[in-house]
Amino acid sequence: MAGYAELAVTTNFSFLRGASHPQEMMAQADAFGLAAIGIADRNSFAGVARAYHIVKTWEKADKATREEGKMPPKRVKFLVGTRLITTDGFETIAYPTDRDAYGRLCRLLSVGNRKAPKGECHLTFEDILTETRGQIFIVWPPDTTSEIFVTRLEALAEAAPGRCYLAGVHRYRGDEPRRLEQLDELGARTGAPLVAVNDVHYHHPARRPLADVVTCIRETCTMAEAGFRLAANAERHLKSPDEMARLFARYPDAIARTVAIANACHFSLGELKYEYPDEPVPPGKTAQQHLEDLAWEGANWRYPDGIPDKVAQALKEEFELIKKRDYANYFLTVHDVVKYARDEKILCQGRGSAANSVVCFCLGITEVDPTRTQLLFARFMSEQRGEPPDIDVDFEHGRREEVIQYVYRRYTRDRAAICATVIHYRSRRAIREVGKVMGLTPDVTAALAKTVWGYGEGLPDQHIRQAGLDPDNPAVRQAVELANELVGFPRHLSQHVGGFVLTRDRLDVTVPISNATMKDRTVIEWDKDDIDTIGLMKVDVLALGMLTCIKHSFDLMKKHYGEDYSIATLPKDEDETSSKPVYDMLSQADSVGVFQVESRAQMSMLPRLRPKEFYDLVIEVAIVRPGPIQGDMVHPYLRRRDGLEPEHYPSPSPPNDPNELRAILSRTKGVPLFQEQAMQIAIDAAKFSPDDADGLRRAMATFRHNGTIHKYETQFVEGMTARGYQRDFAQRCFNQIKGFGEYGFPESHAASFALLVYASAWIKCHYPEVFCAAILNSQPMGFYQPAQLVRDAQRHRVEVREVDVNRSEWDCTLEEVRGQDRCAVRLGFNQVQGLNKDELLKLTAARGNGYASIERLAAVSGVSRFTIERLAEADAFRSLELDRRAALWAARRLDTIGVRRGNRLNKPSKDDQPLPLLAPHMSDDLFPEAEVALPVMPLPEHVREDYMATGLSLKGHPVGFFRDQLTRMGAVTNAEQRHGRLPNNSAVTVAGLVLMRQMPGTAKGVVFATLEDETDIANIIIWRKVFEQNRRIVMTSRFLAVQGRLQRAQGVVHVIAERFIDLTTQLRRLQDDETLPANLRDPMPAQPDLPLLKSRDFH
Amino acid sequence: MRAQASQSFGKPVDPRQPFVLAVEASGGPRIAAANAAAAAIGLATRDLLADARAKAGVLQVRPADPVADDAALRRLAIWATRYTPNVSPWGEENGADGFFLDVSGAAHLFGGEQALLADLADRLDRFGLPARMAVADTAGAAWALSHHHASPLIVLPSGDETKALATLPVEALRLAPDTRTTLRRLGFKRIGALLGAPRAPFAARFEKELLLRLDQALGRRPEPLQLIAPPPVYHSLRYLLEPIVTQEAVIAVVTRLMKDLVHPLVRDGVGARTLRLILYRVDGAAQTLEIGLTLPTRDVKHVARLVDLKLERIAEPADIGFGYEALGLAVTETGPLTPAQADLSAIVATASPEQHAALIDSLRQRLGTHSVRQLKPLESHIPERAESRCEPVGRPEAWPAPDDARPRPLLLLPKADPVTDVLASVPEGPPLRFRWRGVLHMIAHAQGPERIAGEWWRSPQVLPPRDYYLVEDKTGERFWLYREGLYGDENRPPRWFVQGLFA
Repeated sequence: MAGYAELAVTTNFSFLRGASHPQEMMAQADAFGLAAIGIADRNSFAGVARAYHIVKTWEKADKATREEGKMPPKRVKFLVGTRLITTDGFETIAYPTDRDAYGRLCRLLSVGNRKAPKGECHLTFEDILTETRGQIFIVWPPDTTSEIFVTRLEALAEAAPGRCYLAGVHRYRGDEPRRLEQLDELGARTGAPLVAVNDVHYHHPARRPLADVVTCIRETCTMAEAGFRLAANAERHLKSPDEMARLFARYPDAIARTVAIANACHFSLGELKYEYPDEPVPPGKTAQQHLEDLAWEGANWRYPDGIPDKVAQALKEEFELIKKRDYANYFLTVHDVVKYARDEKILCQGRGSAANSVVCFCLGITEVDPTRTQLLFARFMSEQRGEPPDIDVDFEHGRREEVIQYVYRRYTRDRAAICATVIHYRSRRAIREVGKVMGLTPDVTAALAKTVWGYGEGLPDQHIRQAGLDPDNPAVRQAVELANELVGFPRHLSQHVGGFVLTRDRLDVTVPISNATMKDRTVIEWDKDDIDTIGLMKVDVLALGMLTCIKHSFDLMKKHYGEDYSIATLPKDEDETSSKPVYDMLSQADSVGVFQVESRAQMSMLPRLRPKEFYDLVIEVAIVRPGPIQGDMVHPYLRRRDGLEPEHYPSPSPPNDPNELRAILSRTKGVPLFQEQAMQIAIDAAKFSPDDADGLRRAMATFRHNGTIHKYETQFVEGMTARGYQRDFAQRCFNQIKGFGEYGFPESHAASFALLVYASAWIKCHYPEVFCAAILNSQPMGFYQPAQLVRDAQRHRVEVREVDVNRSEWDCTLEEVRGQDRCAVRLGFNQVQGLNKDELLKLTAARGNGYASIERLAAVSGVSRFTIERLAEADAFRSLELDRRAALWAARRLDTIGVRRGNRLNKPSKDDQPLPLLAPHMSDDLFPEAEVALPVMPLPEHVREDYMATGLSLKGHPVGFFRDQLTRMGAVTNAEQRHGRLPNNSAVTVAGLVLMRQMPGTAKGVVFATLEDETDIANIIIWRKVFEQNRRIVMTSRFLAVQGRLQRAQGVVHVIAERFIDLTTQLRRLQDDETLPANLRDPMPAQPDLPLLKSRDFH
Repeated sequence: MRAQASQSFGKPVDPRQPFVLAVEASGGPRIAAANAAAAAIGLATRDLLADARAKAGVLQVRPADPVADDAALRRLAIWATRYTPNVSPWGEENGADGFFLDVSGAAHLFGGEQALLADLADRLDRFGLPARMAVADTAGAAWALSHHHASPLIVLPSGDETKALATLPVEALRLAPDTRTTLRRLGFKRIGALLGAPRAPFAARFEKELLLRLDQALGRRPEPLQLIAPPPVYHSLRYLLEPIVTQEAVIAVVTRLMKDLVHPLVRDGVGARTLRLILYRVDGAAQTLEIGLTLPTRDVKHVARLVDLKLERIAEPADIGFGYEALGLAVTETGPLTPAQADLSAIVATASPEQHAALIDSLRQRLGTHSVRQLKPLESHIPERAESRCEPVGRPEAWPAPDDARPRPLLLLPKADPVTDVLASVPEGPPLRFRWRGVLHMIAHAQGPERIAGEWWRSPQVLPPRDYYLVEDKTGERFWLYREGLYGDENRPPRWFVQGLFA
């Protein structure tokens, strides 16, 4: 059999060109017994890591086979290549023969990328000519060979003697003998001999329709319009060596050369193994010694009363492991980034599997005291998994960019870049784009796309029927099938939120670097899984809003109360007088604004779990997740915790250790709640090999390994059953693992998060006014809007004061209150919609002892009329004894005295007409004018306008104005409903503004809604059937009355909805201040409803 | 009064169910217009379509067509010139959904304002156009009342503007959105609140638009209206001293009639696309001829020739009776026709579009309008689909240049013809011989295959690919053959066809 290597393979990482995944290409090439396969995407190495992942799995499998004493099968060789396409019309595939040549190719692409906008690469033929050392070229001939092409071919053949070839494709265009003969002759003449390739775009001929579809998506046309942009036939698939030999029967040399080229390439991605950046180490010390010194130093700082033996022992063990795997530089790198943040007073916290080690605690990377949790430190890096440790560090979201730029500065752009995130096609987008291409009407595509909730994995028939379409209709059928095929295809590269890749040597000889859309960012072509595959080092620099909030809180506490706290020094469980009120508060679900546990699901769990110590918070964070819920682990845990059922540990049959599960599960009462526990069960109870366990972990991690998880299901369940466990128990354990698949939540993360839960709850409990100001300044974050946060603070007896031109700063601030030891919160200008920060800083800078009049303010501060009008609309002139109307009336006149008009963007406007004569004398002395009586604004309208301008009102709650009407309807206040004495299961009517609507994926069509009135909130549960009958009201109303039954259990109160009354139009009455003449048609033109009351909906 | 694109969208719209027109806007498509059923469930103009779907569950949606809306409004405005020549269709600033009629001095012709209004309402109703209207001394007051008064038909007595406007909301003044919201915020929600107030403070605080609109509505300042011009009429009529009976005489008169029309056509920069010739017989009967043209024209000779051809085809001698005593020629449809620079070069390689159009016109008069079709190229790899028929449009689209590598035959058979007795080497060698229409052809030379796969998106079945061969038999005849299907397919053995002949 003739050997053949396919050297021109375009995968779907040549976006919207290739129609098969790299993995599919590899598998097919292997099945055909090709000598080699060369993946060469357009100006990119983006897809090769995926192909290499297949190589690695083969290597593992083959190793296992060999260990069994058998011969592993012969595998196809994998060549890393790229198709260089220049801006001056030259096209060649390039294969590096060794590591150095690969590095030069990366650098060439980096140069092209950095010259071009994101997603493009600008190279010229001259660029290629300068980088020929060690490369093998397969030059792509144009349809008709031109003189310039021949000249270039000769030049390249001369620059790369013996390493330049001419590509010959059997295209089935009818003129093959003539064309191949011409090319063969041209090759012989120029010294670039003919090599057979098939220009593969898909691994199987059945992918031709999809190839046509992606062509149309790329060209933004429909199939009917595409014409000659589509290929005439389906020949661009991977072909067998025999088939290729037949097509090139007249040119056996062209076939033989493919194998020769493959044999000449010695580069493998395995050579790119990670090299940690060298960290500066004092002279005479190794990195390991330096790390140990730093850690001991830190241990002394953490434990001023002496390092506990347990800690010292753990430290020594971890040092051993770090030394063995040569991770010292990695820890030093993370330490350096964290140290920078500390020095700059940027709050940060680490998490991740390696983060909850004693070393990290001592280095100050995390704050989770290992003596206070029950984490098993030694397992933080599985010895078998030859993977780099994983530490993510969260920073204050407002200041993360400083850290990112520090990393760039310290390691330079040559050695640091951000990972890519591969954006894949998801069902909704796939069906929308395929539908368009297939010529379905926008209505039909929209209907199909709408049936997909979230990240679906395709469109089942029943969904299509629900959309009112016929799944058997050929057009719909075809579109849906193609869309399902397209799901999971990469679409483009985006940048990862903060994953940095750092290398010791130049990064651009490891992977091509390109520009990101964001200024001052550079990214690489591989995403975090690819980096895992290749084994590069990554540090995640992430942003977390709650850290900003906590940092602001500490600053305010220091400034106003002289208390100097950090996360580390907050009073802990040991200090009961300080910590008990915090746990009591959380147990009552009084957690608005608190990190992680403020969602409605968490709030209904808190009174049941009643946390009493830190580890309870770790569980609280982890338990309200799809994993434990789908695995039905929540209720058993709660029952055991309440002593309602005994802790029970299933045992395997003898001779296995009957207590093997107790060791894993005792800290969670025998119920697996964490990802680590599930993994440990797989290893200990189902006897997974470390490799299988690792495969399972990867399968859990992301959707891209679609379907692979089921492979492990049988192994897991059978493995446990075989060792004497109940099948039912085994199955439940696995169901939970599947739940983790969507949102893996490991204990190590939960512990780090729990610390922030405690910190934010402690501040909220002891300094509610500080917490209120800090969280308002950190918006947007969390579940609640400023209105709810302010209302919650007021419920905790915090005085909140209005925005005022003479009192407020840009941020919300604290004001001392005479005769009281607690400050009041003064809302800042940041709460007013549409204000420009620079303008307001001018206003506060020039304020002195306060402005005496609106004209004075304009003249002295120089802010624009636009800004003053916005402030008037926010009713911020009360200290000048002007209400919003009077202030607006005054503001409107300002441009007659030369005040800039300005606009939202605060850019100079063409309407700004400077009045040079008046400007120098600009003052508050305006010409007197006739008095105009402004109508008095009634209170409801003030409240409405407050909401319009700032999203909240301190003057009242909109629902309060309807209380009489609601009482007549038989509605009770939410406070009465929640805290009153209504018996369980009694009929009740509540009403309020709709804050949220949620339909969690785990709730099987149940909708949860939250209503707010002037007293409290009400939690509504709408069963699926009731929802379907009242869909429109539920989905669209903003002001809603709900009749239903009260349900009270374990301190959680819900209303089970039965009937709804949409009161949304009533909100208009907030502004109707006069009775309407009967002869008017539409009494008032429709005004926008309170736009800021738009509820947060999660579908 | 919303036009709707007349594309076929499958199911027809059920007007009793919620139905909206949508326009693309920032943030996704938005509603441009909603029917009564849609309004009843709370859908309004400018709502996001996505939100509307969530509200409605099932919603009929069609794309809006503002250009057609505008055209329809202008058509209706022109129609309304039957009441008064002074009609002004509304632009954006007025809502673009109606028009002003200046009925001063015209109302009495219809029995007064009230009667005119009733008549207009009645006719619009019969068109299926529900309407709201108001008569007032000023355009501004009429607009305000028509939009904000409870009654759909109202006549405001002269001098009552101030009183009538006072209760209306400030929106009735047709103000810019910014002015409207600021007035509302200040508490001036009704026009009455502005009427009594001093003017200077308002002048200092608002664009001059506010006081201008107020004054216009009250008649203190005039509001000039942009009147619609009715379309020009091109018509020419001749009474003859003696009745004419011969075709030549008719043509001679038509030539003169057409000459009369040339001047106004040139003045307006248009040419005739459709002409109507009316022949008035001595006995009082009249005959009408319609003449359609491919390109707009002002060519007298061309028109005369077309009439000649038409007469030849239809005229029966008996129909002439005692002859024609008058002839009228009208242009019923025009198209833009700008003067073109004459070509100075002596040799004109190809026919000019005008000549081409003239040929088509002549053929159509002779053969019938629908008997003349033109071919145009269509991008498709499948040979028989690579062209399509269309209405004749004059000069044909450029045909793709022939590709030497992939020759196409001079003659493509209307339908590929099966051939038998094919001998070919597997899997894809060219045929060595074949029998077509009883004759056995022995192949001397062959080129191919050129493989063309089926257009999968046009048919739910999988079509086998075709392999095309250009072959020359021993007598020198050249054929275009293809084999449908591949050798080795058990279910569908390949079949051979001849699809074309080369010169």
